[in-house]
Amino acid sequence: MNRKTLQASTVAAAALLSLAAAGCTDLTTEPKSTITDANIFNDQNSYRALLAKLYAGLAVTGQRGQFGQPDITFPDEGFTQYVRLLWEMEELPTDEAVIAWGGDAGLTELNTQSWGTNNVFPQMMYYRIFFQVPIANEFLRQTTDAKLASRGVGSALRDTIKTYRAEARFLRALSYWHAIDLFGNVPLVTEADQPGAAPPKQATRSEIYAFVVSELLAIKPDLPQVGPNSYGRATAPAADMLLAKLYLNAGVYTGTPNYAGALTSAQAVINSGFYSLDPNYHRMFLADNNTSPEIIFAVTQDGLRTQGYGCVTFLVHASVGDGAPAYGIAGGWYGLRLKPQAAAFYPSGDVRNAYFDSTGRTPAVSVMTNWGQGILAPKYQNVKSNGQPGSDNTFVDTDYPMFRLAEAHLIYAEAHLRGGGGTDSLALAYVNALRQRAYGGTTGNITLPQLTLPFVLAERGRELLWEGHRRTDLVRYGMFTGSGYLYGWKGGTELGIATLPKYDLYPLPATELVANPNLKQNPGY
Amino acid sequence: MSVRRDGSSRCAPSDAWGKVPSVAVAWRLSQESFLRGLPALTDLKLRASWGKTGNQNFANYQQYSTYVVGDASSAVQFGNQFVSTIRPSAVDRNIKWEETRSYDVGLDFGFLRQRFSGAIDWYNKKTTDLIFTVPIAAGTNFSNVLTTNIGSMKNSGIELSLDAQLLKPVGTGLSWTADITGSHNTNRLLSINPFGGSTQQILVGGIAGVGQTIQVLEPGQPVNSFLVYRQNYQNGRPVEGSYLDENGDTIPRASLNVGNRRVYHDPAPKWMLSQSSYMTYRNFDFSFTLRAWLGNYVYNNVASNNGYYQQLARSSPYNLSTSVLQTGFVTNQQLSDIYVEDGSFVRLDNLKFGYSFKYRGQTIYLFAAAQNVFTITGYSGVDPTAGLNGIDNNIYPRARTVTGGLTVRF
Repeated sequence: MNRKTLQASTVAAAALLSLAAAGCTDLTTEPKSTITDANIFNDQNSYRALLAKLYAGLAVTGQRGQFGQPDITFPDEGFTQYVRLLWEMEELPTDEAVIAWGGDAGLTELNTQSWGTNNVFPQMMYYRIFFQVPIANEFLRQTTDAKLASRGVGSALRDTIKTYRAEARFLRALSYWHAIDLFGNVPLVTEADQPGAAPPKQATRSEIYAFVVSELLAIKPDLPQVGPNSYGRATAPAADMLLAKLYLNAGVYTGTPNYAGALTSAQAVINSGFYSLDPNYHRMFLADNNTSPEIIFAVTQDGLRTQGYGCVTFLVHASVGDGAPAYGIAGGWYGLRLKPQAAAFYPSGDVRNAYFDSTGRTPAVSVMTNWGQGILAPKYQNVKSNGQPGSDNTFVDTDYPMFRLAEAHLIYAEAHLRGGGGTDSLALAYVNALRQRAYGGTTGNITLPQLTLPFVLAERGRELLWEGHRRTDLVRYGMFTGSGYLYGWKGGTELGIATLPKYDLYPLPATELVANPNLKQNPGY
Repeated sequence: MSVRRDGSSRCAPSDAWGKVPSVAVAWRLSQESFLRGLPALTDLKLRASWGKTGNQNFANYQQYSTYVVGDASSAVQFGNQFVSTIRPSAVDRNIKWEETRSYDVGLDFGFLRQRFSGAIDWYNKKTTDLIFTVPIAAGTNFSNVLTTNIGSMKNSGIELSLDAQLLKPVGTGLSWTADITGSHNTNRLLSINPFGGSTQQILVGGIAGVGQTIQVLEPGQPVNSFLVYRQNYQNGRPVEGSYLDENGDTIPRASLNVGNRRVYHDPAPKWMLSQSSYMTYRNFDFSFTLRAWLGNYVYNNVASNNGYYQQLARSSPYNLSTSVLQTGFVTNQQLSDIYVEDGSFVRLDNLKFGYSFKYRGQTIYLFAAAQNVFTITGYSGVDPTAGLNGIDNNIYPRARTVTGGLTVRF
């Protein structure tokens, strides 16, 4: 190669290199093959899919059925499921349920109201709630009018998205209700708070109560209509039920009860005409309970398509030991039994406890971890009302009835008795409607003098056994902690002893107090 | 001396570019007039360097919230249809390079015509904008953990290496060369400030057994230090559930909380030593490698998770860890410092004998080798190097392999 060619080729090489170099300095190109918030909404189905995630946050544990891509990071994914945690926190410390699994750290302390700030169950529930809320906030941020206009979304889809926005706000309100019911003063994070911001300030129970109530009132007109497309979704009656429960417990949350509001909301649900009491009580907890006329809002499950080790899969498996196939599953988990008080809730003639299994068992539970003690209550089963099993023998088809009409009846009666208005005759009629279903006739009907507040609490126990309402009810009646009502394993002894008032609230997780210095722990912890 | 400018699309746009300069000098002492005459000294060089490097060794697209599509069995019912879900990932939109500034002073030496040679280095490194996956305040992001820049740390220490021909062969007699290395590192977290908050501790190190973390990032302490309760003993046996505070007084059980936990050792070894030898004698050869770590601590999660009698009440029978015979624990005591053990060890990593001979003009080589020959350690678990970051959840021992073979050339 002579000198000139060398020079020329060097210059050419240098030119090429510098061209290449210039092309490599732009780092802001957005990824084309990975789905990010920059391009996900180019697919207009994404809005529905993100809303579906909010519902799925109640039903499963992650992006892969069964387990594998968890929403929140804890060693056992099945433990992190929303309804499973909610149920455990609402039922195990009460007179209704006791679990035998001594090997899981923190679980036996739920049986006995002796949890500390390190207990992982309230911790996982707290992070579950604050998994739902930021995603709801993100959905709302991504569906503002401005954002939709910038993406050229047509008017038909925009109308649908209006409904979706109302549903997202409902689910956020539902989680905030669980938050104030379980934990008291938590941070209030809305769509105005971008992800990655500084740790949020703590709000008060009253502030969040006011926020939740205003949200529910605002979204009611935009929620989906009750109909074939609305099963598993939030509807106006579902919002009314949630309002009824908020108003009924307002004395606990804010110090000022609102029984009139509870009565009006419960009445609205009953008068909506969409729901009626299911003549077959047990159907509401079986694999085809999606056909029940009574369920207002359900967390849906499906053996093939909505799979997880929490929610009703947990309830069906944990309530059962040997003989699992009779309940539509392959094997039981030997966990849950009735506390002795709940075993005695039902006089004879009441069909609501027909599924109790006391073969070879006595109601007394002298050792919590002894599976052989205590009466079994396999209320939730993976068989249909015609006896056929569900579609999968591990993951159940049975949905979780979060709100159902019977509870509206009971809320009316209780709110009336507490001075919220309404009439004696209507309150009595509503309660007797439940009794008639329970007794298959009028033999169980009560008279007006029998309709007292203690009776309503007892009837709530009988009607809504193991449906995740008991702790909230006992707290409202002032009987959850303290010496007024002693029941099995309360405070750690077999017959129960008084517990400190601090246990009316779960503690804020210790890890959260470290991560967020703005938070103050609940009193007594 | 060099300067380079690097950019990474993994970082947020405002912080994507960084300058990577470095400078080094050396002084060959053995060439100086005052040392040139020494016959034994073959080489002596003093060197020093300073440099800055960037680390962007985290996953792609952390500054964007990526969406994960749910599979067909995590769908939910809308009326009569099943709808698949999408989920945004936790995002730090301002994630940036991790930067390390380091300086180093070293001495290379050689004696007796490089029969013995080696180096000693002292180094000091400061890393800022340390990247870690940490738990974050609830409600601020789409998960309970996030990969983000959290603070700064310092690493300093010395490294030694020596290559020696211990025995020089006479003809085909015994020869032995050995390489020995040793290093000592101290690590200290200097500051933490995720999101400019005022938190002084980040809890990390998740352990098996439902929830709980066992380690902490705390300024002034080594990274991933164990954060545990101080176990109370009586007559040489631990008292279950009873822990001591910094004054040595028992803490009342009802008020036990995370503030009572204290830093107690960390997983990083204080000294890492290794020795590799190669010997020959006539047609035989023999080589082996010995390795040791001193001062590393391990949290025995197998013992803490299975070492209490209440595990027998589980519905399906499960083996207990033998630690239960020493502790006598009935309930789970995962957060006790009794499970943080000294994992120092000496291990013979590999060993090989070989014999070479000629057969019909072809060279044939016979050998026998073994890996993981033995480990000497006080650690009660299966393997002191098991587990990530000093948390041992491992129940399978490391296999010892013995192989033998023949090499023939055609």
